[in-house]
Amino acid sequence: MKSILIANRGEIAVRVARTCREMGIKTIAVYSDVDADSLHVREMDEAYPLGGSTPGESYLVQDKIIEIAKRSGAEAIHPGYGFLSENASFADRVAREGLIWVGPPASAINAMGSKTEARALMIAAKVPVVPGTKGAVSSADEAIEFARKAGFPVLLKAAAGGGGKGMRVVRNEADLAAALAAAQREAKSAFGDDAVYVEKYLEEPKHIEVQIFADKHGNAIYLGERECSMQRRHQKIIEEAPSSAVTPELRKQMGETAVMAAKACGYANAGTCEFLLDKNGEFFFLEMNTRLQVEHPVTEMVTGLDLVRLQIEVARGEKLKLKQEDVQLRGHAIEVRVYAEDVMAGFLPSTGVLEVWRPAAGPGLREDTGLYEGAEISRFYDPMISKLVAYGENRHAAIERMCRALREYYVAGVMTNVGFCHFVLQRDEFRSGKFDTGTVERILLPAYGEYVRSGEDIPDWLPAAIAVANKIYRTKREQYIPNGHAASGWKTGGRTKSLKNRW
Amino acid sequence: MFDRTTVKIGDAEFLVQRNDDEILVNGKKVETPEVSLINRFVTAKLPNRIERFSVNRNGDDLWLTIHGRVLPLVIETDRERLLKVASQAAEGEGGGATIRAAMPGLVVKIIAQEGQTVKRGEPVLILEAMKMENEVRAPADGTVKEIRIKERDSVEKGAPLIVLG
Repeated sequence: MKSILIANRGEIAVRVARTCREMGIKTIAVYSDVDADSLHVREMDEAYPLGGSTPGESYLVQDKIIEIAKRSGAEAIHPGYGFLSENASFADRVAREGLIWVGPPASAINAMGSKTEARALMIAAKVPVVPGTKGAVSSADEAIEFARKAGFPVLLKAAAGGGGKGMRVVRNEADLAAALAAAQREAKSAFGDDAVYVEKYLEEPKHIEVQIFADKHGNAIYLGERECSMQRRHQKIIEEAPSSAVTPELRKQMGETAVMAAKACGYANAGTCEFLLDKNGEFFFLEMNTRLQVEHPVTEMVTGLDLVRLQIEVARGEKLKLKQEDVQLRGHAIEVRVYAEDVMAGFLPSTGVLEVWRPAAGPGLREDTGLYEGAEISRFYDPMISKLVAYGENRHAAIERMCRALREYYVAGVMTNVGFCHFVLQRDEFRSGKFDTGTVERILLPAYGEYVRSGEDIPDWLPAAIAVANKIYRTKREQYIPNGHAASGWKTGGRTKSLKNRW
Repeated sequence: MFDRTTVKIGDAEFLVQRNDDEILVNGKKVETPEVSLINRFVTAKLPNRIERFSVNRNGDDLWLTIHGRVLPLVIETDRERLLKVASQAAEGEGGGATIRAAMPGLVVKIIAQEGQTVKRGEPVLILEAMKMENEVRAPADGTVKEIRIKERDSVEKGAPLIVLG
């Protein structure tokens, strides 16, 4: 395999391209109009325009991607995550066009891609699942009927979904119809499919997922678990490997269940089995993600493997070099998803230009990003700035390292969740490991609000220094932007711009 | 003659008064920090040590980063305060509040109708950004006086959406 078209954007496109480079494989980028200046375009060997700005006009247009693959002579397509990564008909088409698909076979995506079908398959394979409707619901009445039987709260989920899109927790009957309509709209817009099904909503579970890998020769292994319970609005913010709630026995049990699930659908390539783990240590299959996950770096840190390299080797038809007993977990890794968002406004996206950006560096850190200083965070895509990963010999060391990294991390121009994540990492809820998927919204967010609002321990010199700095800043600005007409628009424009870059 | 600035950090409000010789914070004299500014990084020299922090902006929001802590910040000089009071008085002739877009996005659904009374916290419309639907809620009890947008409209951050009476 000499060249790969990476049908994605942002940090994951850059991440995949890095491994390709290391393997001597030529990288081919595609980009939408708004992404012409993106890092993934800069970093690859060749780049071709898709046009358009919304995903529907660009990264989701199969015809354009196939056409570019042929024109550029690409031998394979890597889909990254999101976009077309779990689209079975695209995977199938890539194969039919004589290209190598760096991902699972279309049949496995089909079986697992629809959450409702995956559940049915798992029930048949005797894998424990959360109680839910058999398939998508066709009406609010049908959802209500299930909810009455199973009891509230229930969870509405997009059958084609992921990433918290098209998902709603409903606590009473009165809210169900409206929530269903909203979930269907969101699902339609995000995945082009408005099928939504209903599950019993487990209170205070942990979200644990197992990374699996399978080749095309029937071999499958698991690479340990990731703890992904730190979530807001059903989107993960902090992930770890391994989970402090998983014992070696449980790891083996969950791992073998995940491998069984993979074999049940004829899986090949990288996949992730998501489980809910309740307080009694009982686990339920939630879904299988038939792609590389956002949080795969924590697994790479503790296993010492490059999952993208494994993906490419398996896609080329090679046998897995690793046997289960070769997989050794070493140390602990934590990933923080640094988002451009306003935490206090309910995690609303904060768009703008990354005017100043000084990421963390130093021992034991890794950062994956698709941005650079001066880049714009637009409303068209996910507002993630980067994934910051800290490694330590044990969990405590990894936490301390991440705290240090977050104190170094500096962004100007957009609001970020860095302060919030720094706060979370210091709390007992996090340090004890005794948190669940609701801890952020139930405890940490209110506590953070209090912490941010209270001005008790603010020293007197701080407001004084702020007032003085503000005066200096304003005086400078007034000097540069005098009243009346300026001699040259270029000059004042340049000055105004440089001043805008203050505060 | 004192130069007066109100500095609000989180919910804590400080009145900073200064002239050439001294600085008062909430009426109490404090050591005058010697301040230098590079980009948004501020270095404050105090008599026996140096402190560092940064002030940051996105749209109308300011915030402060110090020792890993990120805090919302409002800085208001006396002149700005007067301007704000004046403009609020002008805008508030009808006694209403304007709900503005907290982020750029697409108006997916307008829930409230003109003339309808809404309670504080009641969802009035749904705005989609980054493929997530976000409910926009009424900031106060009131009557929907005017809806300034249509469904499927694309709005910029800060755009007026609904005027409450």
